[in-house]
Amino acid sequence: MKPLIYILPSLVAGVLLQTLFGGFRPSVLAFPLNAAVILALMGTLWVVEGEWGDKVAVRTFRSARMACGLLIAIGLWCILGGLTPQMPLPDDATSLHRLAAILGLNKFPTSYPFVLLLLLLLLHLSLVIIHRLRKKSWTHNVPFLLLHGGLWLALVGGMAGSADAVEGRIVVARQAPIRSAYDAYGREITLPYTLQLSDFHVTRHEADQSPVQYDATLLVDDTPQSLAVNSPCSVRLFEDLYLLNYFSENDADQADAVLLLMVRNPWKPAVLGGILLLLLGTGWQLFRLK
Amino acid sequence: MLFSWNIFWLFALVSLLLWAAGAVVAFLRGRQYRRLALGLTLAGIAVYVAFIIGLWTSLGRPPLRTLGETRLWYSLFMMASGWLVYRLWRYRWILSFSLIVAAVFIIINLAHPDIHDQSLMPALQSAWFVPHVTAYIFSYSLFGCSFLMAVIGLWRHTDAYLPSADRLIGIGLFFLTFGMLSGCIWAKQAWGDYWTWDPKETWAAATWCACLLYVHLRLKAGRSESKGPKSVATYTALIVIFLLLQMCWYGVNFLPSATQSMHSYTQ
Repeated sequence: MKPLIYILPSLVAGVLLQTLFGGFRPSVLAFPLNAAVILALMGTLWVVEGEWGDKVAVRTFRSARMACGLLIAIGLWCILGGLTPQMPLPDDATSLHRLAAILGLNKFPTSYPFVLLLLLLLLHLSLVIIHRLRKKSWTHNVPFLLLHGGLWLALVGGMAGSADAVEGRIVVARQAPIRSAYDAYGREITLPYTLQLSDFHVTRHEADQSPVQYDATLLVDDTPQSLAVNSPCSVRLFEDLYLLNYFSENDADQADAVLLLMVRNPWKPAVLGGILLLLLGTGWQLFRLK
Repeated sequence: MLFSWNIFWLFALVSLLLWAAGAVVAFLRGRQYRRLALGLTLAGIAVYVAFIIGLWTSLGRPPLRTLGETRLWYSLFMMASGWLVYRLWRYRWILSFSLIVAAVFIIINLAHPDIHDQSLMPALQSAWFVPHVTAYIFSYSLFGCSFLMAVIGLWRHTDAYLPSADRLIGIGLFFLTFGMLSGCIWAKQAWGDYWTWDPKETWAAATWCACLLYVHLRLKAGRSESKGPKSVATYTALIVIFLLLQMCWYGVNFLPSATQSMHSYTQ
């Protein structure tokens, strides 16, 4: 029951914050604040582990029981969020739906209870990793460090990325270049390059003529770049363009314009690095299982 | 088209008969009967695989697009997992239970083929498509076997199945994790984000949490047979894992949030 000492107050605090502020806004922790917070937390935990690592409170926080408690709490919140439609509360909402909205379950990824649980998980992982690095030779703990470090890195990249990521939609036509994208709230994002549609092609299946692939060629500052579904175009470091849709007035296979998604996320390498470490660690564990 | 769902019933019938024969023979004691059971089950798997390969060739794409086609692979991997468990740990009942689960999905497929066209839509044209889906389905089949062990273990009030369940979960977790992470990489290529808390992803996260919970519970127990409440908790975790993966696989399609899911092209 000891891990509940950390988890229950966090959930209660999360519900209170959710009631007061109606959901966490990741943008408040944009770079460089998020990086500073992460570094400060890691430094603090390094000192805590070094000075008080043998104390009950610290041992409990990095224990397997704490891991189990967090997994149960996060799993349950995912289940509740999965059962709740992720949309604003309708006027004719039932009392159950209103309760779910109070808890932030209708926007559960940015609900304060969930964000605090993820933060607890991050702190727990940090302490676990630091403990292993400080107490034992790391060469004996490679798969453990890969797994926990990979999840830590992916979590950091994902949480920090939610604050710094920029997404915008762009309608790119043949007639004239464009330099603007629009976010989910309709706000204009000025791009540091121009885009113009040069060519568009639909590959069709021979048997039934159903579309198999959509390809487009864009002029990015007058330089041709190609992209297709599942094959984005990288225009700058950490910035990619994705083909979402196309518009055609006459010929169905000749687009007059295409709809693109611009995604700019400087934390992309961190998430990818975490994923690769996780894959490596999981495979290593599998071989050890054999 | 030589191979189609129209002749599936023939291959399914032959496979089911071979599997049933193997399941019955498995209950007989003796090394020769064990080998016969393994041989019959393997023969049934070979016939089933022959149909899948033929269908794959006829369609010109991997049969992994619709729910019916994924059921095809689930039936196959369910029997393959049962064969593997029987081969390694010699639980005589595992082939029978695997047969029952595989037969349910085969019968559903016979009644509802779920195939309406032959082409893969552009969203599914990715090198990650086959490894992502097959890794998940293989992990589902292993969790299906561990679920059966949990039910039997609870019914018989024995912890004897926990070490074997550990191995199944260990292997299943690898494939589940690979399926999930390959999906993340594919999602980045397709939608621009590694993880968007799409309804399918939410239930996948819940399933992954449950698997990790099992692993941590067993690590705490020292990977040994335990008695009493701890074994009940671990068997319960196996059952919860199975239920959650059912929600992730097809249960999510019946929720109101299904319309918001970008995975709805599998319907």
